[in-house]
Amino acid sequence: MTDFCKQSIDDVLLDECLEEIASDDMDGFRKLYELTSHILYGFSLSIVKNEYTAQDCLHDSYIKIIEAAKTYVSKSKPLAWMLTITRNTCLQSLRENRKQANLTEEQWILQAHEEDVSAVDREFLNQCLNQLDDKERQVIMLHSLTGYKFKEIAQILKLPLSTVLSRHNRAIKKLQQIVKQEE
Amino acid sequence: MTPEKIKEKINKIVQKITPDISEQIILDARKKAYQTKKEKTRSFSWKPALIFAMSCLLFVTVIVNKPATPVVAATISLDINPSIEITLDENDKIIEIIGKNEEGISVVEDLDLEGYQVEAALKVLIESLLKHGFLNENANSILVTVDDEDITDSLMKMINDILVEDNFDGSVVCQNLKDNPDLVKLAETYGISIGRAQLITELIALDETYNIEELAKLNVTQLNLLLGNPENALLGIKRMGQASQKDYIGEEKAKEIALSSVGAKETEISDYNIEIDYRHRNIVYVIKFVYNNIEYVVMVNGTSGTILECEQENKQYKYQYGYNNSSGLDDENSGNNNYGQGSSNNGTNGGKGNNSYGNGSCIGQKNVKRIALNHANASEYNNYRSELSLQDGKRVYCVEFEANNRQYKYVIDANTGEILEEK
Repeated sequence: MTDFCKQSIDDVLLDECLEEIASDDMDGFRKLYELTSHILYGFSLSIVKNEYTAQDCLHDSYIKIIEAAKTYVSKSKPLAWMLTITRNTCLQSLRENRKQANLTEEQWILQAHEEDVSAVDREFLNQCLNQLDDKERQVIMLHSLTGYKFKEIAQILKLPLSTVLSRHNRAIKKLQQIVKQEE
Repeated sequence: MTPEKIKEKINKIVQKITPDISEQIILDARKKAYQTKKEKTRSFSWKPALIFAMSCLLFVTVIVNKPATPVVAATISLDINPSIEITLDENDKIIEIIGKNEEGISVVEDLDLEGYQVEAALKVLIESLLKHGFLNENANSILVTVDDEDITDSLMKMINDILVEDNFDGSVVCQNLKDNPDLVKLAETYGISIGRAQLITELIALDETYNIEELAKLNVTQLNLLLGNPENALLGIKRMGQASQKDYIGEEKAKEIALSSVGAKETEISDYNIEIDYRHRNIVYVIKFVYNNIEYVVMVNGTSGTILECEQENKQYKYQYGYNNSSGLDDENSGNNNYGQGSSNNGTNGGKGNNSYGNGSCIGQKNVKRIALNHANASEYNNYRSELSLQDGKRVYCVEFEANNRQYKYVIDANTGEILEEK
């Protein structure tokens, strides 16, 4: 895990945010969003493969998180809990929209409206994600954004640990190949 | 590139492309919570038969009576700034909520609150005002103008409760809209809301030395500070909470400055009083106290802490020679205004004077100031000082100030208002 990833997850802080949300203090939500939105968005993106749908899933997931905050009982894994909600929301969205099967590569490509993202970076992400299958993409995205151990990723994705490991290794090889070609 | 570097790169790119929709989520969560609560209330409090009966009754009522559009039962104006107007139907539900100025439009444009109960809508609205920074620790006041006096108290409490719930130290000023067509014109002329125009008009009616051009520039928190002055207690204006003084030096600091300007310590003074006012185009602190048998009135600039005016009256002279005005130093409203019409009776009648200037009474600091400033033809002035003293057995005010790029000094008869000396 890199330092960058380590800094992005502080379960105690997330628990505090959820407590604040439960007491209707929306500053707690703002903090929670700042800390976790990129993780939930990236994870959504890796499942629904469309940035607009990912944004909708992000929105719906946080609404569910706010609603569930009152009954949330901390098991020291608030992010895993939030990711499970996000995954279920995304899967429900896919079932409703059936977009995944019909998606073309053009639709999948990230739109160029984010001014902060360079064309090179966008292309890199598109390339990386296009070359991976669904499960590889989810494993890589979760590992990149959360720094979770494979065991934890396996729990979230409801997959055996060995499957996660093999998918991760396969995905990494594909990504390294892409980087090599770009260089 | 190592696997770790690749993941770090992915992480950074995803951070950049993640949209910020947090406020939209908060708003939608609130709406959903409100709808859920409403549905629960409906399902638990009404029995099916009652619902059926009510529905039949409602149906008949609607067919017979109900007009095509909802009837406006009350209009609420909120001023912070922004200015926002809310119209309610007879069930206290929002018919329309509109921004009355640019800031108001920016606040309400994303809010879809029509049909909501006023309390839920105000909660969303106030949280939006807090989020946008329009309500903050320096600008903490909301002026509420209502055209239905029956809801004034409950509305003010409702808003105050929301502020408390949001842990915000705010202040609510509530007034009933008066039927005065001039207010509309006034509001348009100065680009302010009708509510602010009404409040300013009433402040000016109370103290004619205020002028509308200056007060129109003040924000609601500054106007609220003026309302905190007991001299500006307005009938029909209700307030909850205190206006923020965080843009200013504060009462303690102003007191410290005033006392040190005359070399007094806190333990040596009596009859202390402090008020906030608007003078010299500034929010000012007016500090009154007695030190060494002299009454001082010191005006301190609320922002810079500089002393703008210092008036002093020796209590011995004031009361020994016929001054019989129980209202204290500022006796401009007492007696008639025939000062300057010199009377030979110069106040040696042993404390039995009435409040007619030139008949043994003292014309007071404010009238002295007017006489001096009028004589110097000075509308703007600085470093004003005046002192009541004895000169050849006669009570006189010694006045000094700067105006028109020069220093003025006057000696004015304290009984007649006659200018005895000028420099």
